[in-house]
Amino acid sequence: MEGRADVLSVRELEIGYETGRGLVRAVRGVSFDLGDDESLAFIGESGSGKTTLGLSLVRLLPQNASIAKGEIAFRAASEEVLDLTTLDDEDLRRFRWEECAMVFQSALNALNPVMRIRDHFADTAKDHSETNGSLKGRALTERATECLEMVQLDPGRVLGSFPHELSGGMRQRVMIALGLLLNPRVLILDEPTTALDVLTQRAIIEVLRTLKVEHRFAMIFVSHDLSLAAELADRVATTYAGRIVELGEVEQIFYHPRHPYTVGLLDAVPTLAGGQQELSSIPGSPPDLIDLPTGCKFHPRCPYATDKCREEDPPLIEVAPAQTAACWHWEKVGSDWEARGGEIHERDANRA
Amino acid sequence: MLRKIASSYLLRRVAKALITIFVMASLTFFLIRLMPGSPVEAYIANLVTQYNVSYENAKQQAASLFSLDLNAPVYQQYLEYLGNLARGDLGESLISRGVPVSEIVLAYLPWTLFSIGTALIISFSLGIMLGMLMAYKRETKLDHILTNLGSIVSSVPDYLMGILILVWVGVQWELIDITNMRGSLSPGIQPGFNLTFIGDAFYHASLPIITYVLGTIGLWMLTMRGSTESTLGEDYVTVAKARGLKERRIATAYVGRNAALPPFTQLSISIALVFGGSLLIEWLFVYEGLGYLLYNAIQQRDYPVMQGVFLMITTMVIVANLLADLLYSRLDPRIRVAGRD
Ligand SMILES: Nc1ncnc2c1ncn2[C@@H]1O[C@H](COP(=O)(O)OP(=O)(O)O)[C@@H](O)[C@H]1O
Ligand code: SF4
Ligand SMILES: [Mg+2]
Repeated sequence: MEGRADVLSVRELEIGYETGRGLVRAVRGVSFDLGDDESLAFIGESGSGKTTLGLSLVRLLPQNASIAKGEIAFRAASEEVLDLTTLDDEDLRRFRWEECAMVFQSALNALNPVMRIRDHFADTAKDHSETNGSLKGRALTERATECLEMVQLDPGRVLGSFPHELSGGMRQRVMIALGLLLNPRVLILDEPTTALDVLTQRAIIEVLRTLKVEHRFAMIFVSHDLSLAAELADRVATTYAGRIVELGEVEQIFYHPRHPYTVGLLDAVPTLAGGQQELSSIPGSPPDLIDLPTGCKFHPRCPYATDKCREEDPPLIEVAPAQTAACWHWEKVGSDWEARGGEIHERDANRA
Repeated sequence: MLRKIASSYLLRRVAKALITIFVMASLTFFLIRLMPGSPVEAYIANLVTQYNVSYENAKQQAASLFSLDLNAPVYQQYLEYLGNLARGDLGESLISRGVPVSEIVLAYLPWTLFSIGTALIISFSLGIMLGMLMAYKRETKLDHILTNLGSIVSSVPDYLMGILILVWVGVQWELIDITNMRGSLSPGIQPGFNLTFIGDAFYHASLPIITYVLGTIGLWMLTMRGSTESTLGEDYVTVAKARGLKERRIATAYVGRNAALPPFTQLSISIALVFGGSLLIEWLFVYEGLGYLLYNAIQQRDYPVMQGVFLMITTMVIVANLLADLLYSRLDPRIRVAGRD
């Protein structure tokens, strides 16, 4: 993974939702880089701002949201660096799907119910023909077939179908295939397996894993489920209350976490025997993003919390090469974790 | 065979329409024949008292007029009536002796179909476009004005609308020459595929058309406004934006196309209402369609013609509904499946 050029650089991003009750601070000072064939996972409890972050990368935030501050720099296929926060409407339209495609959290209703799957491929190709050359007729069918085969769907059956004739898992895969149509540099997947049954989840994960191995593009996953990251990510960022609290290589996050929240998430990963399970093992609930606690936002729920934690917000600091964590007591967290080593390895063996 | 019919949406829908027509035709038969003081009896009594015709003779005449054998048992009369109907034989007019009712009805029918059809097409497309515009510009002044206009016109009954147009536009302001507009064509104009004829047909139909449009457009506008607003919140619209589709395509193929489905389902109700309303409106504007024919038939107690008009209007409403439903099932692919169970 050496020598990769970053396709995406996000710096100090702040996003808020204007609501009747006040400003919801959904993303607070997020910074990260994404290598051009890297796969990065954002993992955090529901409400930690993951979807908001994903939407901001394709500039599709709801009306009441605004980017208060920060930079999103995207290196396009032309090597030109685009500043996403200032792109004009037409450039933005072309940027979407050509450079960066996003498969939404609620992909089950993502297809136009009155249009056949084939026509979804056709109109996407058509509206991007200025940059991609016109893809139509047989060439279009060939390309659509190729994309559908990449996600292990039978093109003969799927292309002529209406969305309601396909199962949830098939629709999800169609969306991924559609995302591949224009060869984007980045594919964002928001909760790609949530709302699907266990078998279908498995199938989707296999599809994504093959895509990751066989094709060169960057992926961003967003999920509340850390086990998804284990299978698909090169690097993992755990997010809490709109912030990245720990970021590192997948092995570092799984085997050497340094933030109590990451530890909590790891303990919540269901083992195979345990089956599907809520993230219940972290006591308490996420903070109110309108009225955040002082100091470290995790302190009301943190077993390591001290007075310092209640007063000062810890910065994200390097805890190992390529691994950062935002915790005053990361060393203690780390040594406690390593002391539990045996138990953990046994659990990982179960997971694999 | 029955299974096959039940499993095909099209066949099932057509069968339903045929049964409805059959029931309506039967009702018409029993109403006219069996009710005390029915048209047949009234006609016979009339002949006997007014023209001193013997009862037997009068009955004979009535039988030939209604194309019935009045001596036969009722069930046989009924079967014969159905047989005649199937052949398009509706009897003969009392007033224009010897002229088959079917011929008269068919001569007036095209004008009603033309005016109502044109009005519904204009009203539906215009209403849909305005409704979408309102939803895209929601909470602006334009939206408020159109919403108010829409609710006002949809709450005024259509005959009242017709009278208002007649009184204000025609009589008070004298903007148009209503006497000239009477009838369905100007004297001397021959039907044919030319501009003079088409222009004249529209000229004479314009007031009924405007009335029907005003009577129905409010409904389309308001329904479309609501359904567009909810369609704009659908995931597939957001996803279409994420797919970098052009604004125009999203507005038409994604938002408009889906948002038009709910108003479309109201088309059936509207068709029946407009057909019903046309009976009064045509009379009001002296537009020579079925409504006008019916009005005259009532005036002259031309029962066979009345019956013919009833049957024709019922059939038209049922057929129009059938077409609307079939079209809807083409517009919404989910219906074809849902209709199966
Ligand atoms: N349209 C919105 N208006 C106001 N608040 C919102 C809106 N969308 C999301 N939020 C709030 O922003 C926070 C982050 O939400 P989200 O990004 O969806 O988190 P996640 O995807 O991690 O579950 C939540 O507290 C949520 O309630
Ligand atoms: S800074 Fe303190 S409260 Fe925050 S995670 Fe670390 S130990 Fe817990
Ligand atoms: Mg989310």
